[in-house]
Formats: sequence, C-alpha cells, structure tokens
Amino acid sequence: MSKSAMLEVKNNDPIGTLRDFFRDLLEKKVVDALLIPKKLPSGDGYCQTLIRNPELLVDVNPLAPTVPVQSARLISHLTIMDPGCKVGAVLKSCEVRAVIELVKFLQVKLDRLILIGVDCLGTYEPSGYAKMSREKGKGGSITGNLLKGAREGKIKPQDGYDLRLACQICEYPNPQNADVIIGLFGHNPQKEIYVELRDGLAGELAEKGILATTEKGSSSRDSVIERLTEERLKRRDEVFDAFRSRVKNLQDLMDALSTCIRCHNCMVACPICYCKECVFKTPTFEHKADQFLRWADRKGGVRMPTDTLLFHLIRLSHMVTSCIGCGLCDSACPNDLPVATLFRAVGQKVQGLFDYTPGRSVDEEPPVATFKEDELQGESGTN
Amino acid sequence: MAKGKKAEKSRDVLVVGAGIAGMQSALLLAEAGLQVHLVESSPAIGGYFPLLDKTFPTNSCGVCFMSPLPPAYCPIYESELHENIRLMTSSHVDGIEGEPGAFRVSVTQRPTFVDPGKCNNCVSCVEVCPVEVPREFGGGLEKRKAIYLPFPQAIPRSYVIDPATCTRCGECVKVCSPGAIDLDMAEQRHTLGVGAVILGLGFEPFKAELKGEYGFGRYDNVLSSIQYERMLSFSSPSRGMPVRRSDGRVPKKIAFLQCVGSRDPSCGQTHCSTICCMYAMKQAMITKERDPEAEIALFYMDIRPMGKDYERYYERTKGEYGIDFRRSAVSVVKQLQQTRDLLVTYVTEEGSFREEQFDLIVLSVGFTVSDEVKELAQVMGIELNEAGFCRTEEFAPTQTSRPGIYIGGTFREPRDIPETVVEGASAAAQVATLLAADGEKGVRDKVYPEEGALGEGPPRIGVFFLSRGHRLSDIFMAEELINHVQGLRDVVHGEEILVNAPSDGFDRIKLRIGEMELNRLVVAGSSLRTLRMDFGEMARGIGFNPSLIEYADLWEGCGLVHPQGFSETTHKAKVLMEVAVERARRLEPVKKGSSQISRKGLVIGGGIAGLTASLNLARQGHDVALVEREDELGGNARHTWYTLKGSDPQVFLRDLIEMVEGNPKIEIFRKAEVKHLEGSGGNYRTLISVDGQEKSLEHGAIILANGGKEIKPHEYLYGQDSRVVTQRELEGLIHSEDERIRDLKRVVMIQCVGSRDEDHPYCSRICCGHAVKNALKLKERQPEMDLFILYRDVRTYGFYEHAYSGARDKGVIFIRYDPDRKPQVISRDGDLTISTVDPVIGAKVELAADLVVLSTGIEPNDNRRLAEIVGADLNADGFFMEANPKSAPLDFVDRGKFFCGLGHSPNFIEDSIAQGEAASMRAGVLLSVGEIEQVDHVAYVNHRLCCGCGLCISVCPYGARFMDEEIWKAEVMEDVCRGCSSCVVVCRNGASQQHNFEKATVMAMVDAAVT
Amino acid sequence: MEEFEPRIIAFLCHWCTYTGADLAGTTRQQYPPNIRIIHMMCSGAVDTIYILKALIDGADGVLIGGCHPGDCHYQTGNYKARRRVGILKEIFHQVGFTEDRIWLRWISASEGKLFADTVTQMVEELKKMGPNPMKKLWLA
Repeated sequence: MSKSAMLEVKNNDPIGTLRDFFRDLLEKKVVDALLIPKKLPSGDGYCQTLIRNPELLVDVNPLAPTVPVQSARLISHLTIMDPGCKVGAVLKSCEVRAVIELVKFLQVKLDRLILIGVDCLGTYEPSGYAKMSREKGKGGSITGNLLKGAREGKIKPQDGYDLRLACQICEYPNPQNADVIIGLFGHNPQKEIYVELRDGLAGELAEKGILATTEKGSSSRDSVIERLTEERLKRRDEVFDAFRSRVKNLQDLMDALSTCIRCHNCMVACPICYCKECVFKTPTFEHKADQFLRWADRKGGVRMPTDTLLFHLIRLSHMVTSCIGCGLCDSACPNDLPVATLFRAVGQKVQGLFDYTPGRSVDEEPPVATFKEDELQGESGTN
Repeated sequence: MAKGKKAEKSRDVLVVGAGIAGMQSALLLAEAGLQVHLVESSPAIGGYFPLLDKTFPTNSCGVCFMSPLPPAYCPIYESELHENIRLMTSSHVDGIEGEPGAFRVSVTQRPTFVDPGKCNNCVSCVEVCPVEVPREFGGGLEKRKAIYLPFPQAIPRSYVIDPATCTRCGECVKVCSPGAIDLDMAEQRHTLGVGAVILGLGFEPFKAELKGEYGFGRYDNVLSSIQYERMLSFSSPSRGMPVRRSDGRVPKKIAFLQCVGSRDPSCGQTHCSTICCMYAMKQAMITKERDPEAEIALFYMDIRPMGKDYERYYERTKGEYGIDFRRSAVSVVKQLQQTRDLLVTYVTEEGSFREEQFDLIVLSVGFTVSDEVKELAQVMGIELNEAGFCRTEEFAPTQTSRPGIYIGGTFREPRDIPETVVEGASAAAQVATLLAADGEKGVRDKVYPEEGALGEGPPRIGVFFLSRGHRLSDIFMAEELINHVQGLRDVVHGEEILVNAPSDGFDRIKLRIGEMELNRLVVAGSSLRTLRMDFGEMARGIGFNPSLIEYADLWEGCGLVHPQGFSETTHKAKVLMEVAVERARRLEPVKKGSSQISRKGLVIGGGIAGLTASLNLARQGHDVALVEREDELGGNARHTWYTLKGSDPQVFLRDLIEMVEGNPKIEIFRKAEVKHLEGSGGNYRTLISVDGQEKSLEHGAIILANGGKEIKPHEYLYGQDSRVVTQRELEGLIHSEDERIRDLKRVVMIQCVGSRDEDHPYCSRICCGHAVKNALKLKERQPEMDLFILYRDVRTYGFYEHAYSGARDKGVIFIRYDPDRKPQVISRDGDLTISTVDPVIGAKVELAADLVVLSTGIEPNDNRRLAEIVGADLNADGFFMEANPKSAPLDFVDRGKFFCGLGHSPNFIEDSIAQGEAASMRAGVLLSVGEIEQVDHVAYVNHRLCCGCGLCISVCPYGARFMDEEIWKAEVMEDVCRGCSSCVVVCRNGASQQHNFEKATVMAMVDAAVT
Repeated sequence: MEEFEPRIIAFLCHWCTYTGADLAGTTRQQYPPNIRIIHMMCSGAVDTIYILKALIDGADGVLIGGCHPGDCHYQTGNYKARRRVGILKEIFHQVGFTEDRIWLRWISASEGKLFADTVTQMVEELKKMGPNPMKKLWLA
C-alpha cells in the first residue's frame, strides 16, 4: 500500500521545489546517492548524473523532456552487485518498467534501490532538444512549456517539433511500481505536486521532516491520466495499423529493414538487451571467407554485412516479450528503421499470447523463462 | 537336463518374462553389475507394453523413466543394449534344479527360422508369403503373414516365422537376399547356472468369448479392450481413430462394459482385476479427444480408481470429458442385423430393465493366468492360489513358495504399471540381497588405454561407409558419393567397409586411423544403436575418444526409405554427409568426469517402509543410517493388530525391528530429525539432530519413508459421542477385547470419511478393506450382530474382493450413499441413529446403532518442511511427487533421492513393504555403481559472455545450474547436468553452451543441410 | 517446368522422434527424400536461431520433432520447445512470414509410421505453399 502527500510549490517554480525535495532526500540520508537528469554544461541537453554531493543538484531537472540513455541500463551497473549504500533514481515511466523487467533477469536488484518515478510529459529527441535550446536559449522553458499541459493532460510540443514517436503512443504516462511517484497530471504545477510514497518510506520521510502524508484529496488526476492514456492508445493503434499495412509480407519486412547496416545501435540502446556481448558479436557469428562465398554461391550473391534480417528476427524472439516500448532503439538508429514500431506491434501480439505485460510486476515470470503444460496445444499439429 | 550334477554357485540371474516387471528387474540387476538372462516366450520383448500408446493417469507413455539411469531409451531398447543382459526370446524354461544361490535351469529356444544377425528387415519375405492370419498383437484386429515382424518396435529387430501357420513353401527363402531364412533351423537347448530366478510372467486377458451374452467373436462391433487399445494407438491402421469393423464408420455412441471376466463367479473369475476401471476411463478419454462428438457410456458396478491421483482422473473423466457413468448390470448384448448396431439390455441400480442402442461396444476384460504360465509354475515348483495366480505370503510380496524364486507384477495379483514397476524392483532387491557377495561387483571394470592427443590438431576426418546386407552401390551411386565426400574440407579418407557382424571391419578402421592419422571419424551406415555402442567401445579400446565420432544414417535414414531411386537418394546422401562432416570438423574430445559417491544410504522414517528399505539396503551390502523421529521404531504398524489377509503385523514388525537392530551395517538414530541437506545427484551431506545433538552424515542416496496418518474426522459426532469411533480405534478395541464391543447388537460403518471430499480429493485405498476386515472380525465374534456398511463405491480390489463377497455372505449389509446426500448420525435421548438415503429403494433409511465406525482416510504427515530441506516436491495432496508417476514411482527427479510408504500414497502394509524393498533397490543400484559418470554433452559456461541473468538456473530441470554470487556468473554442476540443453537455448548470447552441440556447430550443420 | 521439391530441415529429439524416424527406416516405411534430419538431444534444444537460419537460408520448411507431452526425457523440454515455437510463429505471423512452414510434432520412438506420414504430409503441404521466397532474396 502507498500513502499520498502533496508538495507545495514555492515561487511558482515546480522544478526548484522538486530540487529542494531531492536535496532533502540526499542530505537527510533517505538516499546516499541520487541518479537524476542534470543539465549539460553546454545547456544543450541533460544527462543522467549520479550525485552524492547535494551542491551538484543546482541544475538538475527531474522532468527533463529527453532520454539520451535508458536509465535502466545504468541502474543495472549500479545494483547488479550490492552498491553498499542506498541509491535513489529519478526515472520516467518507461525507465521504471525497464527496471522491473531487468529485475526479473537479475540485472537489477531492488534491495538498495529507491525508484523515484515522475509523470512523463513526453520527450524530444536529444538532437531536437539541443536545437530547440539553442533557438530558445533557455532549456528550462522547454520543460516549462510542456508542463503547462500537465493539469489537463493536454501536452503540446514546441511548434515545429514532435515528441518522440514512442512517447506519442506511450500508454503509461504515469509510472507505477515506484517507491516514490512524482505526480503532475491533474494538478496545477505552479501550486502543488502530488507525491505517492511506499508505506515504509512515507514513515521515514515524515519522521525526518521532509514530507508529511495527507489523505488523498479529490483531484482530476485519475481521469486526466485515463483520458490521456486513451488518446495515446488511439494514436498507438493508428501507428500499429499503419505499420501492419506497410509490412504485410516478407518482402515488405525486408524493405522496411533494407537500410540496416547492422551497427547494433538498437541493441546498445535497448534497456532489455542486457547481454554484455550480443551473440551476433561472438564467435558463433564469426564466419570464414569460404562461408560467405558459399552463401553467395547459393543465392547468386549475398548482401554484406550478412545476417541483418536474422539479427532483427532473433532480437525480436529474444526481447519482444519484454519490450516496454521506450523507443530508444528508434532514436539510436542512424537510418530510421522502424525498429521500435516493429517491436511494439509484434510485442503486443506475442505478449498477448501469455497475458504478459512487461514492467507490470516483478512477480510476473517472463514468458521466455517458463511454460505451461496446457498451453498452445494447436502448435503441435493434431496430436 | 544332466541330472545328478550339483549346481554351482552363481551370481547370474534368470528373469523369465520380459514385460514391465521383468524388464525392470533385469535392468536394475544388470546395472548393479549382475549378469541377467532375460527369457521371454514370445518372439519379442516388452509384454503388453508396446500395445499401449498412452497410460493413465498421465495419458502419456513415460515408460522410458523406468531405466535406472535416466535419460534412457524405452526399456525394451535398453534391455537389448545393456551389456549385462542376455536376451533369449521364443524361449521357455523346462527344468530347474538346485537351491538358492546355485540353480541349474534348462531353457529351450524355439526356432524362429530367421537369423536375427542376418535379417535386414527388408520386407521382401512378407511380400511373397502366401499365408495370412490374424496378428496376435492387438487381439487379432489386423492380419499378418506366416513370416512377420511381431510389432514395429520389436526387439530383436528381426522377422520371425510362425511354424504353426507356415506352409514351408519356401518362397521367402528365395527372395531373402542376406540369406537369413533357414526353414530347417532346429531348436536350441541351453543350460544356465543362476543364483536366483525372477518370474515376471504377467497376465492373460480374459477370453471375452466366454461371456457369450456379450457377443464377442460373433458381433463385429463388439471389441475387447485389448483390441480397442490397439485401435486407439497412433500406429494402428486407423491411425488412432475408433472405427466399426462392420463398416469402417467412426462410432458415435460407444458403451464400455466393465467387469468382463472380473468379480464374476459365473465364469470362475471371482477377483477384481483392479485396473479395468482406469484403463476404460483412459480409453474413453482418448476416444473423446479423437472424436469430441462421441457419446460414451460406461456400465459398471463399483468404480475403482484407488491409485495415486486416480480419483482426480475419475473426476476429470466424468466432468471435463462428460463420460456417462451408469451403475448397472448389463444382461445381454444383441446385434441388429441391418445396421450391425448393438442393443444393450441392462438393469439399473433401482432394478428397472432398460434397452439402449450403441454403435460400438468395448468389453473391459479382466486378468487371468494363462495355461502356459500355470505349466511353467509346475516346472518351477511354485504354488499357485485358487485364482491361479502365484501364491505369496502377505508380508513377503515378491517371494514365491520356493526359496530363491521371486515374482513381480501381475502374476502375483492384477495391478497397474506403477505397482508392477515397484514389484519388479522389489523382486530385484530380493535377488540383490540373496546374491550380495562380500561387496564384490559382478562386472570387471574395464581398463582402456590412455587417449592419444586426438582432436587437438587440425581436423583430419576419416569417413567410413559401413555396408551390412546391402552394398553402397545397391542403393547409391557409390563412387560419386565417395568422391564427393573425399572432396569435402578436412576429409582425408573415405572408404566403404563391408560388415556382416557388428564388429566386422573394425580392424580395417583401426588400421586407417593409424595410417592416415585420423583424428575424427564419420561413420555412415546403419542406424543400429548396438553398432554405435560397439563402435564407441572399439574407439575406446584403441584410445580414440568416442566423442570424436559422428554418425550418419545413410540406410534407415535415407537409402531404404526413399523410393525415388539412385539420383535422389545419392543427392540426399551427399547432403547428409556434408552435415555430418561439418559436425565432425567441430567435434572436440570430451573428457568425461565422474564423481565418486559415498556408498551409504540415509533412510528417514522407521515405520514398515523405512525399516524394510534399511534392512534391504544393508543386506545388499551398503551402510545405512536410519533416522526416526520418535523414540521407538515401527510407526503406524504398532497399532495394527491383524490384516484382511490374516497375517499378524505385530509378529512381522517385531521380527523386522529385531533384524534391523541386529544388522551391523545399520546405524539407528532415534529421536532424530533432518535439519539440513546439501549436495545433489548422489553426493549428499546431511545434518541431523539426534536428541538435541547435531551430527553430519555423508551419503549417496536418501530414502524418505516418513509416513502418513489416519485423518481425524470432523463429522458424524466423532469426538462428541464415545460410540462413534474410527476403524483403527475399533481395531484396538477388538484386539484388547474392550467391553464396549462386547454386546453389540448393531454396528454401522460409514465409508469415505475424509476421503474423496473437498479436503482430501483422493481415495485412501485401504478403508474399504479396513472396514471389511473389522466387519468380518466382529461377525466372527458375534455372528448374529447386524452390520451395515454405508459406502460410495466398494473398492476391494484384487483378491480383497473375496473378503468383500465373504462379508456379504456372512450377512453384512452394504448400502450405498450419494456424496450429496451423506448419512446423518443423530444422538437423540441417548440413542444413536443413522439416517441415510438408499438409492436402491430411493427412500430414507433410519438405523439405530450401538456403535458407529468411521472409515477414515489416510493423509501424509506434514512433509512441507522436510521437502523443503531435502529439495523434494509434494503434490497437491501433500504426498511426495515422483519423477514419473508411471515408471519411476519412487524416484525424485534428483538421481539420489527416493521415497516409499505412506508418503507416496495411502497403501496397505504389503504395498509399503514392496515399496521399501523397491526403493532400496533403486537406491542400491546407485550405491553399487559407486560413481556417476557425466553425460557426454554437459553444459559449460563462457564467463566472458555470462551476464548472470539466471534464466539458465530457472529452466534447468535438474537443479544443475547455480549462480556464483562472488562474480555473479552462472555455473554448471557437471555431475548433475544431464545435457538437455534447456539452459543453452534460453541463454541469449551463447554464454551457456553444450559440448559438441555448440550453437556454431549446429548452425554449420543447418547451413550444410539447406544446401 | 520441373516440379518444386521442398527442402525440409528437421530437428529431431534423440530419444523419441529420432528413434521413431529410425523405426520408420527399419520397418521400411517409405517417405519422400525432401527431409534432412539434424539430430538434437531434445526438442527443447532447438534454438530459434537454428529455425530462422534454416528458413532465411532458403529451407522451405522446418520440422521439430519431440516426445509427446509428459514423455520428455528431460522432464519438460518439449513444453519449452512448444512455447518457443509458439512465440516464433506469432512473430512470423506478424511480419508476414508464413508461419505454416514451421511444424512442431510429437512423435514417439514407436511411431515410425506417424513419422513417415508426417513427412509425406508436410511435403504435400509445402508443395501447395510453393517455394520459400527467401530462396531468391539475397538481401537478407
């Protein structure tokens, strides 16, 4: 069970208010280190920064509308072995879901981790953000502009810029499964920020005088989120439909993937692709010259580098059940392959086979790790 | 037989009958190092098993789990492959003399007129044979020729001629290219010196034509259950679909008639055949799966699913499958001339006559003993009981009347496969005990030369085409094929070698290995498993690591099955050879490790099962630690005073305890319990606390025998009125001649108290027998007493049926009740009244009684904690869960862990004894082998790639994978790994691999195969 | 035009289907030669990569043969195989690759005839389906 609290926004500065809150968490040892988006010295963007000295919190922005790197990967580095102290991590909903997924694959341990999820206003591509900030001169207002739509759940991106496609079709604007949830939707961010706390943590925060819990007052939060989710789902289904009518047969799929250069960026960006070294980089896929020539011989010629289609299909078979839809593979692709849409559209169906929702709960076993004796009986023909 | 010559001591064993029981005995004894002669009267081994596609209650086959060292082939194949088993089919014993430890047995092997060493199964003979007769296999539904293969998977893998039908026309001789047929083959007589004999003689199905009123043999659409079983098999002519013989139509309405040749004095079959209810339900379920439209009715007297998890099976048959169970008696079946449909006339429980039409009728035939077996019994000098089955003492279930001769399986009493497996093992335990000779092993450990530095240099592959019966050029363009192979990368030699016997040609190959410096071999030719074994042995014999040999099936897998002709088969053969060479190029010499196991067994629980297991294990020559929670040994049996079959459990228990206490190999720990267990696969260290003191034990096997208990009733005024007692309490009262039972006028017993209900959804198996036992005792004391037994189904299976009919004869009145209208026990003004609804008259009956006896069920002791400590699984009812309910009923998945007794399921004392003995044998085999050799293809981990995601650990069925938490990398316990590659496949980046099945290897094979 | 002869790559488990295929051989059950058998220890040992590799390289069909449910010699490998194949076939279905080219079948050691029948039937079905388009697509 969780408890509710309300952060009173001071000086009409929600980000500053949140900064103070995190400073408290760090100074009063609720966390011993904090992973949080911090502005780049250039001002062109944010990067996740592991902060131990509260002084460095000056230009952090927990609401930063950009995801240069999926934090779940970073958290894996921090927690796969015991970090020895409590680490807090400020994450967007997709990052929290990726963390939950990685917990199942033992890449993240929750014991010393405090997950702080923030309502996500959507994110821009890092390059877009950089351009925008140079145009505007002020990064802060980019967040501010998005924040204006939080109360109604009507988020408008900057003119001339789009939020990332993954964010446009994200059906989880608010994080779940976090120890602390920073809620923006349904509240006036100039006045108040809604906070949800896991039971034990609520006690600690109250004891340390950081934040007292209150009864959950009435607000439009739930209905705003519901409406926003519905809109996103609608958009999502449009995107899926468009993809499905584009990729109807094998030739279409190959066309869609034809510009792949097997740079493996999608794999590197993917929070779920946790292998230290992908099988496609191991000796299993090291071929000798005669092998290539044999393939070329077989079909008359062979595209180089080889195995691009195999790479994507194998990655699908490995990861699609756990794809949480952050879309960072899209952002990472140099040739604009529709990787994320492929994963999400296929994922929807495959996950549906097992009634599995990645990132929903650490107690759900990933479909690749288990089986049922009485499932999929049609797969084995008539007997 | 040469008389007068005294038989010599021998540690060989004769097993007669190669069905489930015989094969189980043979495999266990062979694995324990004894030489076994497995004699079977029919031309192929397996007994009735090859007929069964699926067995209850799993509706799968699973018989392969029976082998002592899993994973294994079907026991039929394993019996052929085992180096310590000598198969003698078409053979019978015709004389025995001597004494335990030194018998001389004469065996006559009838001629089959085909030399199995030469027959290459080419079927030419069958094509020309003019004689066609019904095939015995499957009850005569199909036809065979006079020369025939008994059934497809027959071992020996050879055609045989049936002299009774053969006309000696000689056509087959003319067409037999390997010259395997000899119509003048003579019978052979062998004299065997053996130390002990096991009879696994099995049953004969009741001849349904003896029940003329059901029309079997006269009406085409009346089948015996044996025939129907065959029809439902995927390998039947109808590919598993039930069909009517009259018109080939799929029957829509099917009736199963139970108790055909069981519980029926009119045909001299008074016993219950025990398993017909279950097999009929299985057949009904499979029918429904094949044809969901089928309407199925099952006519029965009592439904008797008493085994482990059988009651649930019954519920599924009724509920999920919608089989219509009709308690009634069928009087006659008539055929309608036009349609060949069948009209069944039957009497319902309420006594009304009904008629109903069916498309097909299946007669669930019971078990009898064949005349041949009865004759053999005479030869063997063993006594039979009234029903013609083998006479045994209740508490020595596998001991015949002649010392040194043991039995297992249905020749003792009709029983299901799990019990047959148990008895096969139990009989083996008796033999192992009898022949245990100073801890010496039967087989001499073989010594192989050191392996050379093979496999380390660049591959130099030698390809050998083994031709047996056929020449390569008979089927392929031989030269082109050999040339092609010689041109493949790393192949340095290719050659055809003619072999007539498996070991032929080995010298040539050995020579080539030396000459050509071959370090990898591809052997192309027959798929014979025996050949592969011989090849592996040859390789080891010259220090060539057998894992450097790859096999390709050019005959059975290509040349002999494709009718398309030279060009096609040659093309395919080239591809198969490329695939094999690709693998051979990548083969690495696997150095198989092995782990020594401590030759000591730990037995938990000092009741009948645990005591029996301990004593037998010790007598087989192993050290035993016996851990008992209480101060006193004996368990439940301490409160059992007599049995239904008339034995005295107290005398038996006293003797048993005395023998256990007196055995120097057994160390007994009283007031002791298990605190912790570590290790797996036959290497365990267990911490026990003995009266508060901790003690650590190292052992190679553990047997859990920690029992069960009587369920305490919560109904029928139990605990509120002292005149309501349980059967066990009544037994105590009778034994102590308590005054409460002195002048009883009327006693009412209520069955299924705490069984077959929501809390205990299983049948406790023993309570019907328990009630009949006590009823008979009471009647013996006071014959004029009124005695009522209120029951749901009377489940006095096997020969217990005789006691049931005995009780009826003595005036015990049985009244059935429905579970939704349970009897009521009312205490009114000091009087006890039982009210129940009698379905026969459809009205309420009130019975005043002096004593109400509740037939309470059995539940397992709370084993959750122990199961957790030991790493064992429990089923939904809290009983231990077996590796396979059918063929490994006493084994856990982890190779060194076993269980027996009431922790398995509710059982009579005789069953617990058999289980204790059987568990001791299963464990004893492991201990006598003394070490566990790793399998060929164990998994290994590339640390650089391992991310520690733990998927390998979660999918490993054997617990062989674990995390090294220091470095967060997954590891393999090689002694426990059985090479299934679950972990290899689940590992995304190939950190987990399997020796010689590396992903790159398989990919290269795929690549070659696609070409 | 020459009739199209599909190529089938079969991954057969050691204990059941491989032994069943062998029984088909010893009992001389005839079936078309379009199948190339790769011997695996268990149907659960068949990695998705192998199936994909075969199909991308131009095999017309892939047959995976394992023990019947409940009979897996490694307890549960066949169930794992079934789920893996189920996932792969759903992926195929979604990306427009004919999933009917992948067959998973339970064939026991005693079902030689079933094995032969299965191969015969699969060849017929694949002939109806026509060649795998990947045979010509060199751009994979």
